[in-house]
Order: sequence, then C-alpha cells, then structure tokens
Amino acid sequence: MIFLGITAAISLLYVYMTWIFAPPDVVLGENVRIFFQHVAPALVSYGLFGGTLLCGVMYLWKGDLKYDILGAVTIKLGLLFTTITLLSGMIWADAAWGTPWNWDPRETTTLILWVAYACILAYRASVSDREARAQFGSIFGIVAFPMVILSYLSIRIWETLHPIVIEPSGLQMEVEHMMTLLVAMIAVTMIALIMVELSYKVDSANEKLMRIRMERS
Amino acid sequence: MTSGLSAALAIAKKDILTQFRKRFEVFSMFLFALIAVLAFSFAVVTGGAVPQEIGSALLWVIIFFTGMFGFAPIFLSESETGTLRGLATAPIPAWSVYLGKVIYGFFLMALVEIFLVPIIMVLFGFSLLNDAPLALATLLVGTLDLAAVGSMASALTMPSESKATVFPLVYFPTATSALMLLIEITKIIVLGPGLVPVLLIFEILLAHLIAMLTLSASVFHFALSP
Amino acid sequence: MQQVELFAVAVIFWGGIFTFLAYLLLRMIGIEKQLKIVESQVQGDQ
Repeated sequence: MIFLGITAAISLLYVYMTWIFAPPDVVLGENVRIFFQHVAPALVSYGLFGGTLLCGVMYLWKGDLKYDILGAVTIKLGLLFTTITLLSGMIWADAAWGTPWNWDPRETTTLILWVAYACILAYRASVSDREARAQFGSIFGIVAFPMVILSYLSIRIWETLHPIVIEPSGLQMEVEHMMTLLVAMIAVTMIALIMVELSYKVDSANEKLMRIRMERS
Repeated sequence: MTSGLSAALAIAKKDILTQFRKRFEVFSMFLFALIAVLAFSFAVVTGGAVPQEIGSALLWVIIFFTGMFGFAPIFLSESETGTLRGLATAPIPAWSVYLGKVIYGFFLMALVEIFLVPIIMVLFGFSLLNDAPLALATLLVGTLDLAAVGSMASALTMPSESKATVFPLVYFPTATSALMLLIEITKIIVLGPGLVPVLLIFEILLAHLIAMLTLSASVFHFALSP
Repeated sequence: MQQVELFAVAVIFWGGIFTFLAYLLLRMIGIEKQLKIVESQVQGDQ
C-alpha cells in the first residue's frame, strides 16, 4: 500500500516533469516530451525480458512453479511495454522523419523482439501438460534472450536514426532532460513492478482454479 | 569430456547413416530451396536481373527457410519412434546428445548448401568470391549457428500438441538474430566494405553462436527429462 | 498538429497501462467468481 502511494506520487511527478518541467529541446522541440514516454518503457521492457530469463533460470534450478508464473507474467508485461514503445515510436517517427516506419535497425529489432516473445506465449499455450509447459517455457525464455541483447546493441552495430544517448562518458543531454528521464525511469519501473505483482496474483489465482478443476475431474 | 564428445559423434554418425539410407529428405530440402528461389524471383527480378544486395540477402533467407524443414524432424523422429527414452536414459551427458544433433543438423544443411550456394550465386548474379575466406567462414559459422538453434527448437517442440505449427514459432525468435547478422556480413562481402566494420559483426555472430551453444547445452538435460 | 501527436502518445502510454490494469481487474473478478463456484462444489462433494 505504501509502495502504491509512492508510485502514484512519483508518477504524478513524472507527468508534471514530462509536460511542464522539461523545457523544449533545441533540436526536437516539443517532441522531447514523447522521448520520456518512449525511452522509459523501452528500457523497462528490456528489464522485464531480462526478468523472464532470470525466472527461467530460477525455475529450472528450484523447480518451484511460482517462478514459472512470474516468468509468464514478465513476458506479458514486456509485450505491453514493447507495444507502447513501438506505437509511441511510430508517432514520433511520423512527426520527426516523415513516415511512421523506417525499417530502422532499432525499430526492426524491437518488432522482432515483440514477435519473438509473442511466439513464446503462443508456444506456452500449445503445451497442455503444466509441468512440461513450465520446464520447456523456461528453457525457451532463456534461449530467446540473445535477441534482447542484439536489439539493445543494434544502434551501435548498424547506422541508424536513433541517437546513442548513453555514452561511456555519461548521458548526452541537458540536465533538466536527464532529471526527467531519471524520474521517468523510476516511475515506469515502479508501475511495472506493481503490474507484475498484480498479474502474478491473478495468474496464481487462475492456477489454483485450474488445479482444483483438474483434481475434481 | 572426451567420452561426451565421442558419444556426440556416435549419435551424429548414427543419424547421418540413417539419413543416407533414406536420401529423399536431403533431396526434398534442396528442392524446397529451389522452389523458394523461384518464388522469390517473381518478387525481386527487375529487368532480367536481381539487385546484388537483395540477391545476397535472399541467400540466407532461403537457407533460413530450408533449415525449417531440415531441423524440425531432428527430435520429432526420435520421439515418434520412441528412441528418445533410450537417449534420455543412456549413460551419456545430455549435452552430448544435443551436440550430436547439432553436428547432424550442420551436416544436413551443409550437404544442401554445397549445391545450393553456387546455384543461387549464378541465378541471382552475385559473387561471394570477393572475400572467399570470410565467405567460407560465414557459411560455416552461420550454418552451425542455425543448426544449434534448430536442434534446440526441435527439442522444444516435443511436448507441444501441434508440433508442426509450433516449430516455426520456436525457430524464429532464436534464429532471426543470427539471420540479421548473416545477411549483413554477406551484403558487405558482395558489395565491398561498407560503413560498418565487418569483423565487428562477425565477432557478434561468433558470440551469438557460442552463447546459443552453451546456453542450449547447459539447459538441455531439462529438455530430456520431463 | 504537434499537439495531436503529443496527446496521442500520452493516450497510448497511460491508456496502455490502464487498459491492462482494467483487464487484470476483470480477469480477477471472473476468476474469483469461478473459484467460489468450484470451492462450493468441492464442499458439496464431501
């Protein structure tokens, strides 16, 4: 409950900073406000897919079904945040570069990422035995992770329209924007954590329902 | 370690020998690749020729799809005939079963590619001979990478209800990253050095191969013991 | 023109999050209803 309150407060701060605090950018103009709602979900979705990997390893190690439920939840939420990233990116691209889709390496790899993790969900749905689904789904979640790394590295490998913002020497942007991005990251991460917890509750309730039904039949 | 490797080789040898007894599989993979070449030609031939960068990219797209046919039955045939139990209970480490299947998949694809690559080079009008050592290394590493991914994907399809439809779903997410890198390298070989340093991409491809092999090999015993 | 785009991005971001939360809520309600039914059936069996 306290966590929820802090999240709400930080989210409000995030909204305030995104729309009022952050000054218009020299190059991007007012569109810089899209930036915070585009980059933060992107990084959080990478984090969530990393969580899928972690949950897969934990399930295979401990054999506890709760890690598998958690893994499935991180896939779903990662897909949600990737969708937000893709859509906001498309609107931004339309405004800045003239077309919603440029087949930019970052765009392409993010779309591949979306399809890949959607494939994992579809695959999980096609395995009816619960234990096998957890086991093989965990393996799949582990071996699919290199795509996330490739998507993250894509702007360094190929020439791209996406700027490299995070340099070894530090973030390449104004101080106000840096602060806003930091708050955006914290806010979106906390929102994501709350959603993970809620989805986990729903899915474990569903799991319980399925188990009772199995026992009765 | 050495016993695991020799067990892997024995498994690969057994599969290759069975393959030679029923030759139709390699031949039908090859025919499928030719069908794909023709089907793509309708889309990309302009004025009697194929632009070099598109032709060289299609080489890997076609190998990617041909792999879908070659790798899908790697474990399905085992689970159909019931020999998978034997492999799971045999006193050999699980990773050597995986490695054996990767070697077999590599051999299968390489057999098709020996004929396919020259034909595609002639038909689509590009040459990999600008940098033959790099092209050969790319073909080897790329095929090995696809085989590594394909064998894992084939193992993952075993518990699924609809095996045939699920295989592409498992193959795509893991193989596409390799496909992108392979196409990029081949384009640079064919068109000459571009803006991107080719060795960097080749290193990433190698890292991908090593990551896939070690990841799959280390989790493989979970796939064998349900 | 620009206002429309900024608005659209905000709608996608918050709309996406709140739609998912609403979906979770609806699913939870459905599952709890089912759970009650099933649990009363289990008690009926005994």
